[in-house]
Amino acid sequence: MWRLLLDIYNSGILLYTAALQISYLVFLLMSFRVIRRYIQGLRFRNVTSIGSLPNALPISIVMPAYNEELTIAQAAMSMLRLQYPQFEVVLVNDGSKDRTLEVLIETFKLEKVYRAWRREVNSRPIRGVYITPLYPNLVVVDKENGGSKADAVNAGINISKFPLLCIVDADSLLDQDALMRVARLYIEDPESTVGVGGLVRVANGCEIKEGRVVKVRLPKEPLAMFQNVEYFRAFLMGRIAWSAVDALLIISGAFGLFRRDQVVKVGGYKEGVIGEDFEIVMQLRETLGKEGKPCKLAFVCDPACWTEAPTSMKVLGVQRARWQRGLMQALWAHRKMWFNPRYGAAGMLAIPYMLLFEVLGPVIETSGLVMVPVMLALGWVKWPFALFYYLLAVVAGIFVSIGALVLEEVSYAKYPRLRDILRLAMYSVLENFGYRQLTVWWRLKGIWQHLTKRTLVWGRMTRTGFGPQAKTEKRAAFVVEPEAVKPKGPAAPGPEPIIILDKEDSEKFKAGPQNPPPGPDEPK
Amino acid sequence: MFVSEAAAFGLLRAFILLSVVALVGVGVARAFRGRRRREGLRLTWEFQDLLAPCISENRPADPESVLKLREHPRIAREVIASIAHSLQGADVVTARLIYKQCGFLNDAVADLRADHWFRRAHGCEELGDLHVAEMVDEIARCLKDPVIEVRLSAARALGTMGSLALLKTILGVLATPGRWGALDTYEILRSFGPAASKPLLQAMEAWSPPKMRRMAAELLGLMHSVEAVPVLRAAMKDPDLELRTRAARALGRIGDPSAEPELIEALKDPWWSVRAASAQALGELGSVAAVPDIEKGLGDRSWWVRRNSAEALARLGSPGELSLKRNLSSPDRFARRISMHVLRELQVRQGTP
Repeated sequence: MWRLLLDIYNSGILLYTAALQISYLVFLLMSFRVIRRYIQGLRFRNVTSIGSLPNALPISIVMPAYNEELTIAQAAMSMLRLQYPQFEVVLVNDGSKDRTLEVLIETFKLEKVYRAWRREVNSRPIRGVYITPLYPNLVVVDKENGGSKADAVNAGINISKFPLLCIVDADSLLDQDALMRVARLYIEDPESTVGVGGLVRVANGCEIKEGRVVKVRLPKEPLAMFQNVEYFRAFLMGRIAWSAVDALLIISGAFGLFRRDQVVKVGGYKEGVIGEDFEIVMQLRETLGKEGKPCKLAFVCDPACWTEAPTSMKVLGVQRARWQRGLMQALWAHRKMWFNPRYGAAGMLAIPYMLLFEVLGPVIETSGLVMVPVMLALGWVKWPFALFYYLLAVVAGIFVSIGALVLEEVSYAKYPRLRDILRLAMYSVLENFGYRQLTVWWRLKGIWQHLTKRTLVWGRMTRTGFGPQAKTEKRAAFVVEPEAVKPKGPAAPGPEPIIILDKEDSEKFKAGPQNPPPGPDEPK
Repeated sequence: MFVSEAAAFGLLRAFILLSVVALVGVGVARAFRGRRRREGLRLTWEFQDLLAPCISENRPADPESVLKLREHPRIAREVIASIAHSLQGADVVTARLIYKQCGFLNDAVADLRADHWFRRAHGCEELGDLHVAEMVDEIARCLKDPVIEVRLSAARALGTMGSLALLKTILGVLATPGRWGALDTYEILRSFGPAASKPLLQAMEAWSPPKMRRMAAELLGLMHSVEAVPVLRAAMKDPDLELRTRAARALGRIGDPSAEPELIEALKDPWWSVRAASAQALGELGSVAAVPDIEKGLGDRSWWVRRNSAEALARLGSPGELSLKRNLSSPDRFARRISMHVLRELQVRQGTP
């Protein structure tokens, strides 16, 4: 009996690991195909010509910022320099404790204005809206701290006026033509496209001037290098493959474009949710799927968003645990979608995959990593089995990472120096000996925190800023403030009632029979 | 367990080998790509030098040059097509002559019938650049291709060749995939110039499919086609609300004051999108006479109409500003608020305290 159980366990972890690696290989092959087709298609689709067309759908870029005094001016400037026919930058100061707002007021000569806005989604009170004569498309919103990015984004959504919303992080830098590339999908299929995500790359080590990445270089810090390799796998393989079968479940919070009317329809970003980027996609899929409406959420493989990767183990650990909790929270909140054919490939394929490999993954992987050596020491398994297991887990992992690297090289080849490629290859091998196991451990901690409903420790970022000054000062670091704990629990209401600055629309803007909901074609 | 030593070692060897092959492949691909790019550039320059005297003297290529060009057909075809793309008139004829002289026309025709979409799209592009009039029907066939890139390429080729007779077909086909079609068609229409107005006006006729009519209305606006004003004014009374909205926007873009009565009338439209677009259009027309009518929109039940009306008034200079100021003391607080909002923005933009 004991022997049978042991055999079942051994077969189970072996099959599990084999299935995981096979899925990665399938992703890899699919991504090769998709990227090749995409790059070929670009030859006949003059994407940048959208920039010269007067009737491209205008975009509101919503950028929440909390304690970003060092980078905020540069980040705002970088957004204002993007190429797109018509867009506005709605910068939301989420009750920063530092001089974020003052820096913005000084840099852009902001002036406080009265704003009649529609309160379409919930957010904490707005203290003021500022505009500047220097940049007619910059709007700064000052609001009370809501304790989450979701709340700040919601305030930005209320103030925004255009039919497309681009949500970006304050520490993100976008390629100049990024908006044109993501907006292309809406222009091509405006009826069914609800959200589009772009590629996120690690900015550490890159040369940045005036809010633009001018030279692509690899990070010097090993931890950022490991994350770089990881981002290749996640974005160039995973997201492209899921998008190809219309089962994408995550659009990165660092850079995503959404249809405003649909985001408003689902009530905006949910407060008190840990992984708000995952949650909004799940919410959109569930709501639209329930109504039987098309819900295309896609990933475009070339508009790059550059983000700063954490370089401290502690912060990275907190981030990964938080991601795991966000994933589990969102999956549980949308459990109606599990194995539900109404939601197509998302319900039947992506969610089961997430449950099996992302939620249960850390538990099974840890059990294998711990149990196999123990069983080998006790003589319960023979060494070929142990070797076979580790080969599957580690060597196949190396192969997949190198595959992602090859994908990058044959598609975009962003890293021009051969030594960069060799370094990436080296880290693709090294990450399997320690780093991956560490991420599994952090994710395991996330699972534990989720199950025990531990209070979320929300990391606060202190930055030195992108650009030349970053090299002379201490490199950007996340600082975890154990006491800065908010929000508590999945659906914690705000401590104070929400105050409406201008209630006009809740009273007057009641959609009557002759008032259709604002759609993508609504006039300016 | 069921795992043998041989299997374990076999797997190890296979993965290590594959990883090494992949890495070496990256290095080789990088070196090869660089070499190929350099070689391609060298040949491009060589062919450009070879063709420049023929084009400038409007004469066919000598047999020796033809042989050289035929040695590298892919690059030669691209060079001739790109030269033709940047030329006009007799020079294009010479480029086409050389293209035919090298026997590339047959290759391009074969491309149009190829199984792979890339070759079909590429064939359309080249034939369009070279203005090969006898291939118009073949290219027009590609307008119904299942791959959008081929359709776009074919439409662009027909646009470059100025095949006005096919414009209505182009519009019909490109209207299918959505707005992308409208944007691309705009690009194509730019190459037709003002001559495109006539087929667009035909496309606005009542029996055309609704999508095509909407697209035509939008395009006529983008092209600032003054001759379209009567048709667009008539479209303001069409039962299709989307067409009314687009016609209002187009009339605003064209800026012809004769459209004022229809736009003022449309401020009473039951649909908010038409009212909002009309208010915006009246602002763009600079229609001071419409101030009292636009002012009524400040108290509209739709936020968009209120905002567009206020912005339109702000564009109309002092009469509009006066109207907004008057509304600061309006009993309707929604009109009051939107007026305050726009006036304050106006002050900041103008730098007045």
